Amino acid sequence: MKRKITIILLTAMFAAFAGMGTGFALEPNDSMETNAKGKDNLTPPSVLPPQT
Amino acid sequence: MMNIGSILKYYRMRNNLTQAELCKGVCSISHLSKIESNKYIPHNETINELFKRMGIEWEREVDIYEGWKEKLETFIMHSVYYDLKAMEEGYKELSAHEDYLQSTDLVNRYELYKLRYFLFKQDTPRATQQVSILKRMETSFTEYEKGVSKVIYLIYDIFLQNFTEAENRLERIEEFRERIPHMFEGELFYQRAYLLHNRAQYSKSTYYAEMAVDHFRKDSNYIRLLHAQLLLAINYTNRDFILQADGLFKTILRNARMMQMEQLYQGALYNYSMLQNRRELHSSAYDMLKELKALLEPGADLYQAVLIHLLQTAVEENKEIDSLLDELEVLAGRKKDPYLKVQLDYFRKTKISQQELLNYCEQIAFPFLKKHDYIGEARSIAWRLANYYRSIGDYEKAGVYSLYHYDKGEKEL
Repeated sequence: MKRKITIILLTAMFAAFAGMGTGFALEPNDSMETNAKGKDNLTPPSVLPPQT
Repeated sequence: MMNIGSILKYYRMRNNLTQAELCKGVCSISHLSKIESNKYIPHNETINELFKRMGIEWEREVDIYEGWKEKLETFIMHSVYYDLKAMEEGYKELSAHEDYLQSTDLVNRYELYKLRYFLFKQDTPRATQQVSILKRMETSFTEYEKGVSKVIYLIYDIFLQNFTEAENRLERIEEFRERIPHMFEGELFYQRAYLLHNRAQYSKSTYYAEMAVDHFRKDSNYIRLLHAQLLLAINYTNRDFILQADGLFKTILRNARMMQMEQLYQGALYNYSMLQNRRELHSSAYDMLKELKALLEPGADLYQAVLIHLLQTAVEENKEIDSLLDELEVLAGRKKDPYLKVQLDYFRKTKISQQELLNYCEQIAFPFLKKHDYIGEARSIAWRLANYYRSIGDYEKAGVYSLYHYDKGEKEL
């Protein structure tokens, strides 16, 4: 009985999420801001001590 | 030992004498010719007689030779301890007597350190020319000179950004346990750390930078010590070892200021602001960069880096970037450097929309940075694109960019 419920629940969850991945991909995500924090940013040029 | 024969030949040519004229009554022409090519060491009497004919005292010649030998050794020491000013004076004196040096056995060392000097001066054409001169002389190198040449060629390859060649060179040194003169050990660690940093291998680079710091400290090589410490602090920053990096930056800034090493001070300040940004102290980073910008001439290389870094900091802080963009536009137009153009366009797109920014990153910025080995920058864009594609569920593309990010980053084995 327990197993049956688990399977039913899993099936229901699968059905709920089916096709969601591609759905997200097709929709341009412009709601996010352009400014990024920390690691998401373009690294500034590195300035090193003299090599030669 | 000095090459008596070469010195004899040097003076004979200067006196416009043929071999026959010089040796008449002293020895045969074939004998003189063997002496001059250093194939035969003559008796003192023969030497004295030959020199006397040209009005030269042999003993005095030995003193002159010893004098030049000492000058060359001093020049070499200046290069090891990074005394640029003394090197310049030394080079002026040595190069004015190049003919003489080339007639002695000091020639190999002189030509080797001449390359070292051109690298100090960042004189690419003369350094490249000097490498081809040295290639022709290699067969006459002693073991010691071979060891010296390996390190100087390595410095040359890294300087020209021939990183793959430099890596091969290091591998050969390691694999064959090739002998490197003791005084070059610190420099070899430093160059290795430098190369690894350029390859974004920060943990390995940290290891060698630490070795270089130890070596330079023991050797009281204070200028190179500061360089190695700065490289180490930058590596700590990239690995988010915040406390270690912070302490080291403060030490470097204090010492560079006391020793009046302006460029090093500015380099340290720039990298310190990088650390502040990483620990999200953006306004501290912003202030440091403003201070630094005021110290610099707009033409300087550091100036453009500061400008780009200011832009990034301003973006993080949601500050207005228009005036900075205008300035970068003028600079990019003047310098015609495609890298600056990419940075400029990137920050322009941040003002439009995220979609445009990401398209720009994917279609232009990432391919450009990847192609030209701007590994750090390319990795950060790959990271951002991977995050974006993951957020919209495109795992295939996310995978491609993650792979680049991790592949070019640390490999912990």
